[in-house]
Amino acid sequence: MSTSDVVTPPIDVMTPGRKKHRGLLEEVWHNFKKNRLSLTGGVIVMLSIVVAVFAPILAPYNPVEQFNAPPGQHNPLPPLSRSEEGTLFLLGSDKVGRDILSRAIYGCRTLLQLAASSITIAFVLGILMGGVAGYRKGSWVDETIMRVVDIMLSFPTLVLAIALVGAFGVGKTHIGPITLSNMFKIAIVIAITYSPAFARVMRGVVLQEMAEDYVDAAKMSGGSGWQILTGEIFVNTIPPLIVQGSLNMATTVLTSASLSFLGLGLQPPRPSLGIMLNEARDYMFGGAWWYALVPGVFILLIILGFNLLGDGLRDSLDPRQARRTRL
Amino acid sequence: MRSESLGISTESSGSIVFQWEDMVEDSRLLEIRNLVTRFYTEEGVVRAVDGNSLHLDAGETLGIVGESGSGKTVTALSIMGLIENPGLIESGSILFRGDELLEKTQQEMLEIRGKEIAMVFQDPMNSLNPTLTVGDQIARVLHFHTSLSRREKKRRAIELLRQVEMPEPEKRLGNYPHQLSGGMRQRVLIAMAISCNPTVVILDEPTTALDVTIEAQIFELVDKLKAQFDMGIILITHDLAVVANSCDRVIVMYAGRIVEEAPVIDLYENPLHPYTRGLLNSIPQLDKEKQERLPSIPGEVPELITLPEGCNFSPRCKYAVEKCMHDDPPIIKIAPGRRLACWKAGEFIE
Amino acid sequence: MSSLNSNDGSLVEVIGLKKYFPARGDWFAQMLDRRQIKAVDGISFSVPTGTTLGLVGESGSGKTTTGRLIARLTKPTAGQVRYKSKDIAPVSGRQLKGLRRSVQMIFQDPSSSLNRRKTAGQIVKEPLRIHELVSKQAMESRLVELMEMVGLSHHFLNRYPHEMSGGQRQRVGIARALAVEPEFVICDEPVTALDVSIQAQILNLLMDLQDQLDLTYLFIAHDLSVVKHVSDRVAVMYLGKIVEIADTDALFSDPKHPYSRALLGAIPRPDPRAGKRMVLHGEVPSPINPPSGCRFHPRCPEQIGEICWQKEPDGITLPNGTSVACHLYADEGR
Repeated sequence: MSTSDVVTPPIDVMTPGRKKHRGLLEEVWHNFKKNRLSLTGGVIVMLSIVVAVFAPILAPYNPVEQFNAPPGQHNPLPPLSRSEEGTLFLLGSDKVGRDILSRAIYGCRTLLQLAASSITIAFVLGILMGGVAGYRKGSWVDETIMRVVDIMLSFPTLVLAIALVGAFGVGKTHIGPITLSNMFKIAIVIAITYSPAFARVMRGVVLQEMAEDYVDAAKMSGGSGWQILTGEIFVNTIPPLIVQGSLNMATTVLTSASLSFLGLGLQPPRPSLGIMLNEARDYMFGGAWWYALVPGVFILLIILGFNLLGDGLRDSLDPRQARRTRL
Repeated sequence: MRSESLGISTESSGSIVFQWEDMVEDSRLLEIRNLVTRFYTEEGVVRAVDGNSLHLDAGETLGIVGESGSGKTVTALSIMGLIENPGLIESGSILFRGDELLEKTQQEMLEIRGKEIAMVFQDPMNSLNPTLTVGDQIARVLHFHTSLSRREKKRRAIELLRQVEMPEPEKRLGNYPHQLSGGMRQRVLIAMAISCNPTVVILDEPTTALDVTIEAQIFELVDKLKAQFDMGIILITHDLAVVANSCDRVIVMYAGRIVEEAPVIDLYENPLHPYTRGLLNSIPQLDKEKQERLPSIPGEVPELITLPEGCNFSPRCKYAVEKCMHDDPPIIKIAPGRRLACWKAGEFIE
Repeated sequence: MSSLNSNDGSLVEVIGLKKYFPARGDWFAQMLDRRQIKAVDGISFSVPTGTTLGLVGESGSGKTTTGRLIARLTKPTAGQVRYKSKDIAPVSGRQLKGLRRSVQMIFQDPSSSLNRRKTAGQIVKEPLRIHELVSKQAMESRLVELMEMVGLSHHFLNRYPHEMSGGQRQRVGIARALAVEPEFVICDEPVTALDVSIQAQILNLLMDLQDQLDLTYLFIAHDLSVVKHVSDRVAVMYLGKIVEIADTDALFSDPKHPYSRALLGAIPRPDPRAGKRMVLHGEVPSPINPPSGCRFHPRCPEQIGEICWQKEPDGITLPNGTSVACHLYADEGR
């Protein structure tokens, strides 16, 4: 061996294999699939979405169609009984002879529609409020937004929602040429009650990201405040927001159902799990157990599914925080 | 083979059987033999410490120098019994005064940790509990290892703070960590470390987060305490200058392996391993004339998951020959107190 | 130290620069507590074109704030920052954006200064896109050119920050700063976060780039050895004030201010025979309520009496061009 075989390769050749990059979705899936409980949650949520989307195919009957009870019996009929016309009530019928299964399937549909649209609106409102407050930290804009948020958060969600429904009224509203459907109004009400939570999370994440040097670097590159907020900071705020969103989905479902239950949400005859529960109240002690049980189990499953999914997403999107909470 | 001419035998497979020739003396506090610590991560097996042997005698300061990923901190955590899942001490032996630490139970290690072997970590803010006062934290350490009464513990805490030259020790007792400066926090950690008169103190980058003037204060203190308590000290750092000032013996680590060991004066006057040489040349020095360019070591520190074949340093080494790319150099004794892991050892020793 | 600023060859001049931060974060607390942190408290210096001014000091000295003031990442409380004789302290909007093409910054921690969800290519492209410097067709080749300039191959354009080592990340940070072809670059502790064997590579790169591109540097660091290596002139800061500005050789062979001496004496040397380090006692006092007179007097081993804690020393220019703020030299000024 002689010293003539001296080898000094250029930097690139020697570059060691650093940790492989995964896209956001890839990363989430990679961590998510390891957790059985969150997978279960995901499956439940997927199923309820399938039920919601294909409600017209899956539901055996029209949810508002009333059937007569056979002579000698009267509605509500227990599961597996038949109407006078001979239709089978798989999970029983309600007080006016409508098929509970069909109503629950359609109820699932309206509930998810309502929850999803309110979460989306809350998401947008929250991101706007929190993003601006965080970026202008310490200014009067920040103070104003965050104090409003504090006030809203100090109301119990349902109380605030009831108050807002009281203020907006139930039913369609006409604002000039625009007609707001009752459903859209309720979605806005729920969104308003949940947006402060998103605003807080968003502001916290933005503050955290603002402390990073890449924000200063972006300023040095000549980027404007808006460019930096949308082009640099926003991508890094998505993971915690998704976690907040999926965890809030469960409580949003609950609030939507509660409003209907109280008669302040969707109005009959529209099939809604909350309304069904409300109607079932009068028959609770009459032995019609299926009347309350079916919508109750539907609501329970949906909420359980979103909670498990949310926990799983939190663990996979922010492994560091997950480890902390588990300790 | 050159190594044979020096009287060292190695197995042809490249694995190293290190024969410990020295007698185990009474003054030997700590002896590590062929320690292998690995971490089993998703990305692969991290060979953090890869078959290293070293020892520490009473009253001496051993410096362990290396860059990130050299395995210096993992070595210390292995001694402390603080390797946790997914990490595993695969093989080797860690003798503390002739006693095998790797066979101790968790309970027995609790007794040793803090009382016999203490460690001071790099970041004083993270190593202190933010919700407890300085006095309470020192008292807790005393509570684990002594049976002092409350009042005695308080008196001892003040005494300890005075020993680490904390200004106004009585007042500081009631302070929370965030009320102290970085230097003061490090003093508190040192006070906690020496509270039970340990025989070995491991300092892991104790001054990396501190300013130079504070760093000088801390090392002055460490020297004073060492003389006072006759401890053995292991100083882990990336800073060759700090080592030169405060250590008796130095071990240089690279990518999980010890590449060179030498008494401090020999190491700086006659560094042998190409990595040590490169490192010493590449740091800007106050005493040297300003050079146009620093003679830098090319390339990057390797990842411990994908270590190169042969000598870990070979891809960056300007002396590397064919053999270096294929075979691991064993660490061999080349002079009293000097060890070297390099195939070209014969050429460097003149 | 105003005598320093008459130099016409200066690219950047700083005159009486001050930055006070409120001691408390939000405005409500500020109403109750009006104390201020005097991070930078009236400093003046100039950086001649094509040279490097080193700025050293311990944490809390205000060196990083000074860098951010000159970069216009924050607005000064008082004083001027003149770039090519024009005060840039009050500029905003379009003018500020224009300034960003001339003044750039390299950050300390490359893992924080690169957006973790963007590739190196996207990161370096950003300033080119914002300033519309390169057409779409020419973009790719310009990016490759920039990467090669900092010693990275085009393969790195598609890599994310965590797929690179610290040194490689810092190279990407340098490429981003140089994308707009700046004249003045503020290097804020550019090698502090890097491994020892990588520091020399980056220092060499910065010095090569200075030669090639005719850059002027403000080099901020706490490590005097590094500063000595790269700087033509060095300013030493203590608690928001500059205590000494001198040519590099003069400062390191014959430091004038007692603090400069202490700092130099405290540096560990990679030589076991170098002898004991000098130990400066005490800690840097709070910048909320700095000591009276000379700010260094409580820790100063060379105090000469009452004047030290009663009168703040003015900058005195010594015959060798060193400017020092210390009462020891009251009689030696020109």
